[in-house]
Amino acid sequence: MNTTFFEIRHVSKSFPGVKALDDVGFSVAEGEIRALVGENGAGKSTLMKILNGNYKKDEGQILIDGKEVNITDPLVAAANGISIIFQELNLVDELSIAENIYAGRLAKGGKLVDWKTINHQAKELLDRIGFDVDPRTEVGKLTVAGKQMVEIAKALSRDCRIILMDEPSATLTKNELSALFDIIRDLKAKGIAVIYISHRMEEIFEICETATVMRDGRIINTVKVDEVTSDQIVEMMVGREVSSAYPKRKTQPGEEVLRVENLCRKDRKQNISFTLRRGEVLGVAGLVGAGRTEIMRGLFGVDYISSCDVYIHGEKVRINNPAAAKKHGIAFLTEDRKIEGLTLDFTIKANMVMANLPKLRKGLFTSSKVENEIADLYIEKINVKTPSRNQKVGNLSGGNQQKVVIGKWLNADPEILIMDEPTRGIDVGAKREIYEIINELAAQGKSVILISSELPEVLGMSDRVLVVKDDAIVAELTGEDINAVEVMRYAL
Amino acid sequence: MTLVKKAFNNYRIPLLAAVIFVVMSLVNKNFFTPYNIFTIVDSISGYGIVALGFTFILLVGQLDISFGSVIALSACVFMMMLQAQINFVLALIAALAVGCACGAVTGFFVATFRLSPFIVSMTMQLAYKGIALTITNQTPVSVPHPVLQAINNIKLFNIFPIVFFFFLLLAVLTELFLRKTQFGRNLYLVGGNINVADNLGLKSRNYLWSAYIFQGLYAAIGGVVMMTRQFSASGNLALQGPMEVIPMVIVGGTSMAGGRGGAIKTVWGVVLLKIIYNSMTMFSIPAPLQPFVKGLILLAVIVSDKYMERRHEKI
Repeated sequence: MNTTFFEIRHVSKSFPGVKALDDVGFSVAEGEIRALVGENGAGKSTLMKILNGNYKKDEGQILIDGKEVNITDPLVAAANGISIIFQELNLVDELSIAENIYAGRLAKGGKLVDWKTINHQAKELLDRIGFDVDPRTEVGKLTVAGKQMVEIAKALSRDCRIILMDEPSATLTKNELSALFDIIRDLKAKGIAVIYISHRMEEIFEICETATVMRDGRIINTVKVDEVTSDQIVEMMVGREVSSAYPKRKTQPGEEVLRVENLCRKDRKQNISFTLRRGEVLGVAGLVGAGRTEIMRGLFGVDYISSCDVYIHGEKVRINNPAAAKKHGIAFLTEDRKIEGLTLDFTIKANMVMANLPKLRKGLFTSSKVENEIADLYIEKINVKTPSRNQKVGNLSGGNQQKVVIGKWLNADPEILIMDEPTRGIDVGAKREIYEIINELAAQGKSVILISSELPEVLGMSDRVLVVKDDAIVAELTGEDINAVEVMRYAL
Repeated sequence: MTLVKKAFNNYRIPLLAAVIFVVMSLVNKNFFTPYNIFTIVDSISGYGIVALGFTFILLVGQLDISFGSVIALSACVFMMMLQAQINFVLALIAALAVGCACGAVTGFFVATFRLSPFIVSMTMQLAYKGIALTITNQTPVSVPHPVLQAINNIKLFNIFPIVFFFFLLLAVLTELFLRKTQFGRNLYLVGGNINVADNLGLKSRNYLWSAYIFQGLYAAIGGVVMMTRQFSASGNLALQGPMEVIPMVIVGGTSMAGGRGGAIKTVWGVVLLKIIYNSMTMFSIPAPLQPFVKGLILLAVIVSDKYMERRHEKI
């Protein structure tokens, strides 16, 4: 075993209301390939941002070669040999590969930039990782895999000793991935440590030697990969009691209202089929990027689909745009309420009536009386906390904004509500209220499709759970099978 | 073949300028005459220099429409000091300092408070113009200063005014600065993706600010160069400045989105548009109709150029 050179001790970090990192500590040896795994929100990103100097840690130490370093900004991180390859790569599309690699240090002390040398040095770096390309190529012309190579070359150019890669495989094809693995093995041979962050168990078992598991901001365990099974790692990741924060429903699902058969998005072989029953809450689980939202966007007619048979109450319907979906009683509460769900500058009233303007019509004109009535009805019904219906939506809290989104769609009298991450970024109390609204809707005989990255939420709320992986439904879980281990087993 | 393709891809604007130049020389006998060549070249320098300054602004992904007033104000200060018999060099330094100061003020608000550059520069345009009108008491300041006349009289082959070479020299120096110094490259970096620049630990705000100061400096130089031709400044000088200059820079190939472009590209943008405008007068298009035709031509050039650039992409 090589010598340990990098160590984190007792690092903690809090954000208002959340403890993102709680006494985190581990160490890495030269040339070690370490997996860092954990559910969404386990604290991996926070840790990375602390190592890169984007966030300041509240407590704890980072040691390199036994000496404490104080990482105040990204330059200090680089100077200490730490390189981080974020998922959103840090490259400028308009500039050449060579310039991106040496950005910010092309010429020292007022000297002119020597392009010849820089291009030459960049070429050498690219050769070292076996990426055959002219360093003068504009980065914008490369594929994502190519851009990752440039990031790796950039890391090498700074004589880095440890590279953190944040889900590098998320956007790579199989061939590109195996090329990346070759590079990682090569880095290992040079004594450079790699911390590989990924959700995909098969990758971790292929490339990593050790794995550190995080959950709820804490380190659960660090294990040797060849001594455990992937199920054991998953258990460590999710090993938390499903809390009783989820109110129980008394009603039972009724007859089938929606049947989707052979849904295929453009250029993909998916053949997605599922059904939805009256008064049912259908959970859709899967990792971020697995394609959950995309399936629903296809169903709702936002994205192109090449084929899809949709039956509503057993009758075949054609949905090729959102207007048709709305007409057939489907509502889509999008993932990002601030961008796609609400007009933040408008009042609550204006947002509430938006989805069903014909309701307002009295003769030639719209009636402001009806408008006020509708707004007041839903403000009361779903308990939006606001002094007035004329309040700007942008001034409401996240939870209340989400309620306005729900009210807006209820006004369109839907039978089926697709809710994409309805509780993202809102506090615990408001979450509970949203859950109660969902149960209330189900009790009224409306059907809800609930997409969420918070696994406990899907488990606690759903009658049935679909697990999505790689753009396809890989499992349908009911009854006793709705538990974290089962879901993760399929999702990973 | 690939060489042709490459030339076509990288030198579209100069090629287009050359083609129009040759065609015009063939079809219109008044075009390729010493007098007309002088007319074209003579009209290039003033706004050309300002366009070099505006290139900085676009490179960092910003906007500034106040430079017309900056030209007027610095030219007014310059001429008033000459009128007051102050030393020529001192007057020149003062004018350039005024330009830098204007740019620094506009840039300060944009960079420090991250305000919309359009709104800030629109406001400052009014402010600077107000100052110029006030200090000149709304009357033009005309001084036939001997140094200005001397500069005006130096012409190479009796055609090329000396300030034209000054413009070319400035363009080459600017290009070198942008392409070959760390500071220049950092401007591209900030314009291309400010988050990346921040992540590298660059002080992005200072780079944004510096672009405005450069713009102010170049506007002042442009104003002084204009004085070597017309010996008279007023608060209403360069009223059409932004409307003339901005298209030149964009046609030249500097992207409004930031991070792409350069000084030499701007030179070709200036040259192309000046040739086109000159050709219009050659065909004696009536003056009232000229802005309309200008607009159409600008649109055509920009649309076709963007199309050629992105013809492989699906928009």
